[in-house]
Amino acid sequence: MDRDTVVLAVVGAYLAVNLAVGLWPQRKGGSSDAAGYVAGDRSLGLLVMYFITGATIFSAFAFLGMPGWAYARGGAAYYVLAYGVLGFVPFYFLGPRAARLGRVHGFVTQAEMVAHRFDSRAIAGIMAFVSVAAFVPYLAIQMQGAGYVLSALTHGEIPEEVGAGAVYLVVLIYVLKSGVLGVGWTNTLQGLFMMGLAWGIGLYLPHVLYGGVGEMFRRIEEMRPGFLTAPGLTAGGEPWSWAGYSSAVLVSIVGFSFWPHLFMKAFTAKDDRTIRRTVVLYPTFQIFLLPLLIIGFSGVLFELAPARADQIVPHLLVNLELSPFLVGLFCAGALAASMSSGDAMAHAAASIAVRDGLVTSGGLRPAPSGERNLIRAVVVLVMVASYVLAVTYEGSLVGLLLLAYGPVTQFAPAVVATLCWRRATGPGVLAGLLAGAAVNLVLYLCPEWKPWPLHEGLYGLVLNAIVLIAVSRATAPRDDRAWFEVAGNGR
Amino acid sequence: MRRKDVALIAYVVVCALMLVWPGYALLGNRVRPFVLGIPLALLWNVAWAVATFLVLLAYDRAGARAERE
Repeated sequence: MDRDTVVLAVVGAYLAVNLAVGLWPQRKGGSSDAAGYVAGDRSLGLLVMYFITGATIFSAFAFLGMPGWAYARGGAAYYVLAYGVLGFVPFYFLGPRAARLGRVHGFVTQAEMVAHRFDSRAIAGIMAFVSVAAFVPYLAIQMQGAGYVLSALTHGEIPEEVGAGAVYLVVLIYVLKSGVLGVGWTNTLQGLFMMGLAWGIGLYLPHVLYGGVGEMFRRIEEMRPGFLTAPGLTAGGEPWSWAGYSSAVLVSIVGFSFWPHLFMKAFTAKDDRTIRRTVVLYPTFQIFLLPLLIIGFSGVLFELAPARADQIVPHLLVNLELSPFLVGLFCAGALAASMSSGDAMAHAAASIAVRDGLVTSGGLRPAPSGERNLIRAVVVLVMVASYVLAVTYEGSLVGLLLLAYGPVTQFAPAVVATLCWRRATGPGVLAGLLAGAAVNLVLYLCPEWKPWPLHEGLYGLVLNAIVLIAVSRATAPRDDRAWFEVAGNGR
Repeated sequence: MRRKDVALIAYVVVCALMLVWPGYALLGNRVRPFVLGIPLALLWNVAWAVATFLVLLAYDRAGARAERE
């Protein structure tokens, strides 16, 4: 067998195993209503939770975008490591409260919970709209990543749009078949696989190219002094500012827990203990991101430059005479990363669009099986929208993702108030959300209006919190004693 | 507020400052020394991740102990 055949055989075998494992829980039976489909019957244990969380952060952004950042922007890429250190900490306190309320009221989404406390269809509608708008570009990035990998592997014989389409057809099938349990088991497998592989290749590439990790960094420092320190470079190659770097880290720390697909894990966890342990273990994932940065840096002094920085990893693998088995495994890992994040997102986006957008906010009352079919229909729609964006969008998708992080961060004050502040009122939360999202959008569109070069989400967040507190104080609170009896205080 | 909560909040504030300007810029953001061949500026972030894991573990253990008593 020639080289390319071996590589493709390894990738093909991997995808086949993946699909089989993804479909497996379906045969063991399970509840057929929408709550079972979305929340996996609230029965996922610690090990599964750990690797699902791991696989969710090991997205195409981690496997292709992070090395791409290290390769093109140097120390700027450290920001991804930095925000992961504290990003999940709020969830230690918010997660168990949300889970207790979820068990009593049957919540499966974040917006549903906020809207229920304040009895506000407008809040559910806005949160659903923002969430879905934030997911489409995120999913499109995952699809582009899959396209890059297959295109590089076959020397362009599989065009990017065909590769992305084929891979996401597989994702679509298993999301439609088994809902979140399928997501759980495939991600457990993929999480394990990717963590091992990241370290393997991260040590191997510098060894082949430079004779070791230390030698590689010494050579880069010699040839490009300052490249290895923060805040690194902007996308345009200019030095990045400390204000830009620091505010990107802070906005991401605050916003991270409130990504709807991550927050939903509160409702799928077996018990409070599982949620707390997942948060405690979360920083350990950063150790597995380190080799991905090392892989990106290993391309810095490589003589052939890829067409786009995000293609550096497949570019290196194809242009070096590495073992085809290893190349196949890595590419399968990158595909797996893209797929596992993609499935969680498609699933979350569709659940939110249906439950929050149509049912809670729009007042639609479908039968349980009808709701499940509606979610499936929206999964298809969201996938198609993301696919169209992925193949037609010419500019930087990472730019779109940064736009998405701003609005997601605006959920933070609303959710914290819902779970922890008795004096919060519906008008307060709604006004805060609207003010924060508006400021965020305006400053993104007109960056010259910013007083300092900070991330626009930070301005939105500050105003959001101030408006929420002020309007809540000025309006009459509801009697929420029952709500807080369920949520509990502290542990 | 209990002592362990105050300690955790203090840790989070210090840690956040050590990940951005000014803490990181002044203390951790340098290429040398190389630790295990890796520039300090890079390993700094991983070291804080490990520290956060240990702090959260201790906090979680303390909470579980208090719950049993």
